Amino acid sequence: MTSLSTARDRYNAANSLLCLLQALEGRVTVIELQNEIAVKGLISQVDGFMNVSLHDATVQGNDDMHYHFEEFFVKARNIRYVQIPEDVRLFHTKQSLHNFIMLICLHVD
Amino acid sequence: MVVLSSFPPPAEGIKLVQPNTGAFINTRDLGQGTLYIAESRVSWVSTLSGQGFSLEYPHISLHAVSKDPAAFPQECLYLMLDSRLDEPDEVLENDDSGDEESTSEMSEVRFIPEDRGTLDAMYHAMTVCQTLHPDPNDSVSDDTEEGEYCLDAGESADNDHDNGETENMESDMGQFEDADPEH
Repeated sequence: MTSLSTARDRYNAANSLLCLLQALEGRVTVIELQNEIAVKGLISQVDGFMNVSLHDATVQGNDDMHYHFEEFFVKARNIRYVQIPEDVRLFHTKQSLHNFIMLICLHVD
Repeated sequence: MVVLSSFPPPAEGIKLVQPNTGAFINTRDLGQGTLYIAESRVSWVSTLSGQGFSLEYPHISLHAVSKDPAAFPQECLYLMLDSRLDEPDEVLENDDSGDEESTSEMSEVRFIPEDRGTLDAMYHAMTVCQTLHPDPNDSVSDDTEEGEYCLDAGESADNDHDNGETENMESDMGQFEDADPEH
């Protein structure tokens, strides 16, 4: 798959995903980490590396206990999923949909 | 990666020094010491023994301000590491401790400052320092074929994310507008 994508595609794809995440600043979302812990909180900031800062976060651990953290910072590589709130509109344009699909392909590769 | 020994604390790039800070590694109480949050690493040195440990940012998966007594009885800065810490008196290899953490590559570290009001500053100092250590495995930076677009996602986004985002959307919208402008 990498032979089909240029550096420009990869740049655009990563940038789109970053923009998508940054559009969630100020929204409450659930983030599932690579170790399967789920964190629900208000996204206060997404930096250029897709690291996410949450405010007022609740962690649900494997033991079904809930723990609260006032501030919570997680590095991008530890994030498996970010749940997008239902009312957030994705893919205003064909180009952004294309970029998103490219990003999925890149990560599957 | 992580060292438990006598060593001098970082001398450069120090963002925050917090004396009278307790440290826990998993459930082990290491007592009181001084916390150093520097650009290169996080270090803690015991007041009593002069021994301590260092944590490197690539191995700190997340950090958080914990004030929930259900999580931990004292207000603290919580860190999750992506690997096991070797502690004094314990052998790294074996799981004979029966610790529930031993089955996963993960450790929990807590720093408990005597002055609870400094927790936010500690959190922010660590956040700033983490942005100095982006993941080298970032997919965009892997590609080095075309120099024009050979940018870290971080660098490009830092420069452009205020301008680039709106520029992309605005330039696209005219060309690719949906047939139904109502939605």
